[in-house]
Amino acid sequence: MKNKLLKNDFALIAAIFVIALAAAVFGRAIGRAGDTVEVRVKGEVYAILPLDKPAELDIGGLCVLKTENGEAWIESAVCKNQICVKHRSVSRVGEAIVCLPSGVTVKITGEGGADIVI
Amino acid sequence: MKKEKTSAAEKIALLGLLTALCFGLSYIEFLIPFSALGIPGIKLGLANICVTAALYAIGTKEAAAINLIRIILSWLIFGSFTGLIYSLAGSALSFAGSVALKKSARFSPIGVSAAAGALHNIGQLAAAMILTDASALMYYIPVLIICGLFAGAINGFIVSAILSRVGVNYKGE
Amino acid sequence: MRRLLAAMAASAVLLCGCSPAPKKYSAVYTDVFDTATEFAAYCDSREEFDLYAEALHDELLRLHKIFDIYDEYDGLFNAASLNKTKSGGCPSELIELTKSAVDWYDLSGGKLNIALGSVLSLWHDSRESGIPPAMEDLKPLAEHCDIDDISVEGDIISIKDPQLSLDFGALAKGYAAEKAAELLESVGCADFVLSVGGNVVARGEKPGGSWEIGISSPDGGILTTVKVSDEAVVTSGDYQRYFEYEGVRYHHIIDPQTLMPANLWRSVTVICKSSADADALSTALFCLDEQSGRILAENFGAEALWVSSKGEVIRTEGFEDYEK
Repeated sequence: MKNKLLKNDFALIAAIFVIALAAAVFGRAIGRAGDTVEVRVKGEVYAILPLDKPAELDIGGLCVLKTENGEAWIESAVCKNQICVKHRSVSRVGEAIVCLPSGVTVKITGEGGADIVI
Repeated sequence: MKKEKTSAAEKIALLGLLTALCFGLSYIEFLIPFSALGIPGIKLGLANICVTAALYAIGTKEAAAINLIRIILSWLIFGSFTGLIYSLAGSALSFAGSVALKKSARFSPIGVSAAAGALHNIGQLAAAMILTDASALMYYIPVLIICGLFAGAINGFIVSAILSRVGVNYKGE
Repeated sequence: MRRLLAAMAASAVLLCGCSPAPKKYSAVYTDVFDTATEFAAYCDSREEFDLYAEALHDELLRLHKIFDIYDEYDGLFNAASLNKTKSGGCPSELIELTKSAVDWYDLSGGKLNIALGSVLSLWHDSRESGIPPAMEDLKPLAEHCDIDDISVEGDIISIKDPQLSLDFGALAKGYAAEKAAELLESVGCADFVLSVGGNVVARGEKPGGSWEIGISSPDGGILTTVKVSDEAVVTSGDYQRYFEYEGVRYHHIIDPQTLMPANLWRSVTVICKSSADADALSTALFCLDEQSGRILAENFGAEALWVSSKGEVIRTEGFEDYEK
């Protein structure tokens, strides 16, 4: 009887272990949520904002960055192609939005996660 | 602690002793510098030995009472208020899990305690995520589940040893 | 119990990674190859990193000028000069990449063609104006895209067809990333990761393991993460450079045979040893069907991941090994 219980114990522990590992692998694969967003203009760091509170930043009259709920996106930009404005919001460490015409880069930073996202 | 008729006084004394023991274990745990591992929230959960043993040897209500009093005492002596909330959330989830798994009569205290350990950490982290609005904590869940699982299994092992020594059969209800 | 504790601690460390002793520094450039360049390395000091970053930036600027088809520079015979004069003594990098491009034309079944300059330039103008070019404008230009009209002798490149112009867009960034990585290694930077507009070259490791490169999903977010230490990773995607006209997306990877943006895939990611090969492969695979792509990738010992236009994800077997 006890042996059967122990067998069940083992199965239960193994199952939880596997679920945790799977969650870890999945979490790794889809990337790690970032803590801050680093804004650079022509390579020079312009501002670093936390991602946890809503904020709006005018990046030198070139673009307007918004942050909320761990995400950052470009709300508007003066450039012609507007690719940065159409870009989906970024939230994972390493993800970036680039506005080439104005030299603005917005990159999610934080502990761990991907070094570069392409 | 065989299922004999016990007087109310005896029972109160026993519960008091167990609570004291439980609190003592919390204190021992407080002395172990687990934070040196660099992962917040990791601990052995020794006090759970007492709670799980009481759950098997005495009853659900009594174990719940010991658990609750232990948490409040620990908070008063060396805790912070947010710590209390985390602790309550973790314990509530893990205790509910323990009761359910024990009722199923499919697992020994080792399995019950291991699952409880994992659930405790899930509950604690969920509370932290809600209170601090830090979804980045999600990343810790797998680590904490695995740590809770191992710590719980160790505790469960100790609980089985205690139960067999005091002559409690743990086939379930 | 001790073993259990050890296992517990080990899994905890494994899952969390370690906190590094050298610090991570990073730099971003937006003035080379019309794209964003990211460079990250673990160094003991800011001074050390700045030294590497400056050497890297200089090298990328130098290569950018060589392959630039829009502007000419004093004292340099570059791709723009060659397109103008159709013949001349070129820098060794231009010679090397042209020779390799001629090989790539055959390897890719014509999908990679540096002689496509005039067609690409029309598309480039379209991206600026936001209106796609008409097929009757593209067709005549396509008649001046014959790779056989390019010849390399010694350090002289000659173009027979006066209306043909070269465009190194599909190859230059990967090649430049490779060259820049070589330079960084030669100045003593051993552990770094560099991305020239999505052409990633990783060398060595970061403290705690391999470099982690996130692969974007065409619809936003991260599709997967690969771990590399001495490899190159590159993604060609329809979301990287594009414009929309009347609800249709026109992206930057033009199939030389249809003269239109290739539409088999939404993105193709390639991992292999050489960044130059990886860049060429990702563009070629983007225009090829799965079967041909698989064969080509295999010939180069490369692994690939495709996202089809329906959103289906396909991988070569070895690709998964990088995802753990």
